[in-house]
Amino acid sequence: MNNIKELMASKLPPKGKKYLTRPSFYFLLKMLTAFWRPQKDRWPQKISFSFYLDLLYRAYRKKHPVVWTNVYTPPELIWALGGTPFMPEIFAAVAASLGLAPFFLKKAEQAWYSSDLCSFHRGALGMMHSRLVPPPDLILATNQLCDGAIKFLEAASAFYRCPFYLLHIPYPVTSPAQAQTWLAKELAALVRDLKPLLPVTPHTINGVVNHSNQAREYLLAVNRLRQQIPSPYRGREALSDVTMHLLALGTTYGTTFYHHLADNLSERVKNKRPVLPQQKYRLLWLHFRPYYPNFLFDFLEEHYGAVIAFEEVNAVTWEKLSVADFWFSLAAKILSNPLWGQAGRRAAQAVSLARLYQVHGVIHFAQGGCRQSNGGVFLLRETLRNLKIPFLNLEGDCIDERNFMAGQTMTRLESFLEMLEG
Amino acid sequence: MIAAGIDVGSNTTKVVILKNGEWVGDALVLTGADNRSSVEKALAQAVKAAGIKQTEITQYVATGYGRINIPFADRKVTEISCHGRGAHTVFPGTRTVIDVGGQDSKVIRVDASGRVADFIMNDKCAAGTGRFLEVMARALEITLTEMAAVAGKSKNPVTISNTCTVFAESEVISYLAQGLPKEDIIRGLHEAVVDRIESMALRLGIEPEVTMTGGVALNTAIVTSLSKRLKLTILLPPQPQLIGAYGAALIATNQA
Ligand code: SF4
Repeated sequence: MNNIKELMASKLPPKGKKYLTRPSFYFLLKMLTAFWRPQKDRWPQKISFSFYLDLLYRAYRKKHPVVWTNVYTPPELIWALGGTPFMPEIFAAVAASLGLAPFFLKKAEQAWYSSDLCSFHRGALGMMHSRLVPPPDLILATNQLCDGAIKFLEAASAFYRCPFYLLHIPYPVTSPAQAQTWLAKELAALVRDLKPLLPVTPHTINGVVNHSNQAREYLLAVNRLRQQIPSPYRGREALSDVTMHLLALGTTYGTTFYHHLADNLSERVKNKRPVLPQQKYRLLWLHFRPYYPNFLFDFLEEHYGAVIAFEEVNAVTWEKLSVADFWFSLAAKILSNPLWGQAGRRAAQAVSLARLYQVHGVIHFAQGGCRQSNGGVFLLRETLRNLKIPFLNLEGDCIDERNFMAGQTMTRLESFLEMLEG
Repeated sequence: MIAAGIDVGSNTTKVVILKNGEWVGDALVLTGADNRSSVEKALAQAVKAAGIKQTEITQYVATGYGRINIPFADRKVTEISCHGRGAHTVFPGTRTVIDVGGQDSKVIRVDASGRVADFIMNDKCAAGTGRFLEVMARALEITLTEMAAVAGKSKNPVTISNTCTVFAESEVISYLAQGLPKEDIIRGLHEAVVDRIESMALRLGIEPEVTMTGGVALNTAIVTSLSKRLKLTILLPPQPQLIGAYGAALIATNQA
């Protein structure tokens, strides 16, 4: 117990922590960012950067309740309730991209979290114990995608002594329609329970739905443009952008981000400015990518002319949301995620994306500790193999660079590409 | 046309030289800490054995984990492709290659033309590799060459339950302290390695003919046990540890 108290009370480096947890810091950065005039190609980056600053500003300002949730909880739900959604796993990826993940991972391990726990959660827990994330007013966990998320958010609820809610998402096995009705009712009931903390208004629902639907249209356009050969966009960047549709859908940021991205890509296609003019191989990427600095993608491009043409996590699997039937349409969106439910759904999506994007092979990045993804690898491999689509299960870690074995990872990737070369 | 294949492994560096596709010279030296000097040494020995001058070599292909450290190589190719190509050339009926080297073990499926059709590698740990046996040989104060012969004498092999090399070493020490016969411990260690290779092979799926390459293929106890478990004959090239370099030299020849 003493240990926990010590950890909770710990005052940790890095220096400047006090600035990082002040709204004024983010406000200032937001103002400075407003003067940033990047090249047209970089506008989406500016928008996503501004979005994150604004999110942190809102979260530290505390005018709107901060709701911690796990990835794949539709952000529209929390925006519509007037809250500020905060997905700590995304910030674990941000920390990794800044090279800070090992510090937070060690912090989590010192707090008794097993190194077997998915590093998205370990990283997030380390940030929590370092008190470098905006504290939640309440927690809304979902059982989609993994059980680890619930446990980690439950730990956060105990740490911050804030209420914990769980949205139970049915595993859509036999009757998807029944699952949708059930989930819509559960959502409506949850919203009733949350009313004292998060009062929903028709006005907010309207705005959120409009933004989400517009962003969806732009994202669809982006995805259509990415079918072009050679590819107009790098999968590596798209695997970072995914955080925008995980968190920013339902906001003006989400809409403008995808609007600019669609415009950019369409210009690149029109002006024949692909990622690699001499593109040889197109690959489909399953799961997320390593977010710490690494040379994998540059190497693939430079030595093999290989680009990640598309990623499963950027597929639009849901229909438009409806203002009139908000909970029902939100339930449909949640259940449409092929990463949830039977592994066969995911495998079927991989096949259709492999065909649509005319890829030469599929890489599944097997995140250490991710049971939900790795448990389905046999089915994935068999499904693709039966259709003669080459498949590589690449073991690694998205966040924990200490688990990155450069030589072994490269040998596996290179061997796969040599296999495609024949 | 003279081509050289250089395989820089974790333990040894191998060179094979081909003249118009014919194997004319080879060499094997310890890799040591400095990849470049071991490559130079191996090349010099192989050149001498081939009776040529190094300047006559027109194509170099490098493979093995140290392939990136050979700046003069015309091409760098992974061990998977090289072992596949090498084994298939020695035994054209080969459809599955089991390569167990110092730090990696791999099972490779090749098609009728020797191209890699699928592969699997050991997870990032020394279990099921030559390094595992090497560490254990040291703990048992016995040479690697003696190990296979001693294992053959065992009647009652022990079970090594740890896959981690460090923990398995402690397990070996505790068996020694219990006074268990060395041959039973050594046989148990062999079976532990075979366990790992077998499960990889079954995971990928075995299609005969099966050829084994890499330094561990010189260990008859491993080959016999694996062949029993897989219920098939395992083909052994004359110098299995040179097959990666041979495959690299073949690729270099085709490239010219
Ligand atoms: S990678 Fe897997 S285990 Fe980790 S958060 Fe995502 S779904 Fe959960």
